[in-house]
Amino acid sequence: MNTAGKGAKKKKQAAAVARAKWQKMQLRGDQRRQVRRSVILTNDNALEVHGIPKLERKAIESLEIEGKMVRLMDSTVDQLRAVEAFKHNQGWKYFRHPSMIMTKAAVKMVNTLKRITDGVEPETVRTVVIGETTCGKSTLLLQAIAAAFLKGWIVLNLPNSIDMVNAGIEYAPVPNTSPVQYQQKTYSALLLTQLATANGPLLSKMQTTMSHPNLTFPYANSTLKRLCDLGAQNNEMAWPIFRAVWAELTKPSPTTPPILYTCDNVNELMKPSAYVDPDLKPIHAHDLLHVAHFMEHLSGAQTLSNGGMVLAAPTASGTSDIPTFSHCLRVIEAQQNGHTTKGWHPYKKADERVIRSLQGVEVLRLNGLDKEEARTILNYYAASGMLRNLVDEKFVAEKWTLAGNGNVGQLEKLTVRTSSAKAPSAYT
Amino acid sequence: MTAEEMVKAGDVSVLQRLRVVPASRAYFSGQPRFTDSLLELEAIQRKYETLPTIPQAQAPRVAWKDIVAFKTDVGANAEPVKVSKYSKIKHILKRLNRIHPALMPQEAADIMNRYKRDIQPHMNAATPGTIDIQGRAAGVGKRKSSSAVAYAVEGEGEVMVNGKPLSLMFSRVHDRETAIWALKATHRVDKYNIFAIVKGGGTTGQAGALTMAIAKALVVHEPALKTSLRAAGCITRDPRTVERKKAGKLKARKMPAWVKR
Repeated sequence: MNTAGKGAKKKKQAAAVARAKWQKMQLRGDQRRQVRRSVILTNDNALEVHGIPKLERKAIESLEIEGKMVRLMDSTVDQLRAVEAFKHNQGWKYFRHPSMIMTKAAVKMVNTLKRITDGVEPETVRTVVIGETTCGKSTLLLQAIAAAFLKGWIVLNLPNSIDMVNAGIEYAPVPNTSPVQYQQKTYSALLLTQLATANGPLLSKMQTTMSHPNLTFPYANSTLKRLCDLGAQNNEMAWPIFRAVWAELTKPSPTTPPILYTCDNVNELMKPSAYVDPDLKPIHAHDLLHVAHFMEHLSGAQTLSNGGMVLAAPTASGTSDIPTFSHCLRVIEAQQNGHTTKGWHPYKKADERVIRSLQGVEVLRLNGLDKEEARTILNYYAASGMLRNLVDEKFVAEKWTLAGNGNVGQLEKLTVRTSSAKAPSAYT
Repeated sequence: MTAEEMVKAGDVSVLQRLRVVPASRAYFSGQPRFTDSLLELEAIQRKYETLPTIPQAQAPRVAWKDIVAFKTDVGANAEPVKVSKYSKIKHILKRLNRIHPALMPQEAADIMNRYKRDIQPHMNAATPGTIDIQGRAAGVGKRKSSSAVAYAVEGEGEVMVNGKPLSLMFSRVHDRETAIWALKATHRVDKYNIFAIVKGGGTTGQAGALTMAIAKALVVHEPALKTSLRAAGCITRDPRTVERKKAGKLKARKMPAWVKR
């Protein structure tokens, strides 16, 4: 009886999978990509969790949020959506509202933002967040972006950095550049759309004060929001307008807010791209204008005159390993900790441009959650109705160890993403 | 006057109506070595029968020679000695072994030594594991063709295998659960930190080898856990390994397809 029931359940599941596959087949290529990459931030079947504070400006200022769950405000969610800070493979779709745990690293990040905001002298902090897969690097970036929005910063995020280099969008050489640089007009327009949508209220208060010889239309005294909108509509003008807006934002001024410039999956930008030059040789990613722009800021060649933060995080997926990049990060981390590491392989060629782009950056290693934090997040899963076990010390300890010493993505995989709850075994 | 005294006195007429019986049963066999041995033992047993004994369970464990070794040693190879006969010898030896050790006569000890195997497996006690100065205890485990060494130290449940956390080492959750099964079965998941090196085989084998290695390391810290770990199946090495391929077969058992001539 029991086995027959199981078989029927399996058949049903298989049928559902087949149906979903068939439905996907009916979509066009771009529609399928849209479905695949769609970010779902709510789950109507999950329970509402009461007593979770909202992530407001006031909450950020106080230190009471450390180690607690916080819920993103709707306005912040809209801004985060605009800069594409949510990733489709993060577990937002399992819960009623987008909420997250404020880990020690997140609080440290918020404090750094606070220090930069309150500082007398403008300061540019350059950080690369590293850690094993699903340890929360992208979420930490998201938390930094959310905090920056709440603090009234300008945020520019390079979304889906792999899209910049996988030859999916048109490119063209920039005339009179040596070595030749390549522009991606669609991408520039995309970034301007993002700037205008996410930072609209701030940019509409700021007007052009400088002269921009590259702009071929009357722009005097127009707001930066207007400029962004123009560039977003006109691909041809997008890059000059982006430069102009950036120049305005980085002009030393007491009224201009600090900037948060972030890039996730940054290791995709640390190698030759899929684009080719007229000799059919691969174009290095750093020869693409927007990548070069980010790298200038990451390497400290350009500073943010009104203060700010350049934040990058690589993917820890083994397939994306860039030897020079990983080596540089290892060396920097070792130097920070006062250790020594092995030198570079004497007969292998290192990518000089990657080394230059990481000069002087700070490396922030993310470790797993501690037991208290793990307990908080498991309690949240249980309160959302997505985890049906009793969350006690034993349960937390076991899941913490199984999740590779508190890896947050693994904790979610073990509890929320499993199809069936584990039956208690004879020895528990 | 007894018949014996009469013969001694020179009167042999008595022998005509008496059947002479030899003193030793060995008189009737071609090579009386087995019987001699048995008689010798019987004599000693009789001699020390009154000495106090200890229960069988408390007597020192001894591995006696088997019948083949006995026959070789006493040169009784030509002699048909049945197993059931030899068990009489063993029975006496076991009885002698039960004499209180404090009162064990030299004569009995000497004769028992002659029947002991050269190698006494019961004397080979496993070297007990030790906890080193840093508080680490090591354990070794094997499964299929994997072997693991695990070091357990008191801690809060961190596990590193080959320098990697469990989640990176085993992508399959079932394997992770197998690896820490020894800790879970004894409710010690958050009591120890484990550092392990595992080599050879595949993921299943490596996880299984870790179970055993961690269990062995755990036993060093807490010997009382051995029983429950054995019940949980962590102590005994799983002897199943891949079966060898045979000639004439495609794999170990698979036969080639039948072909019509």
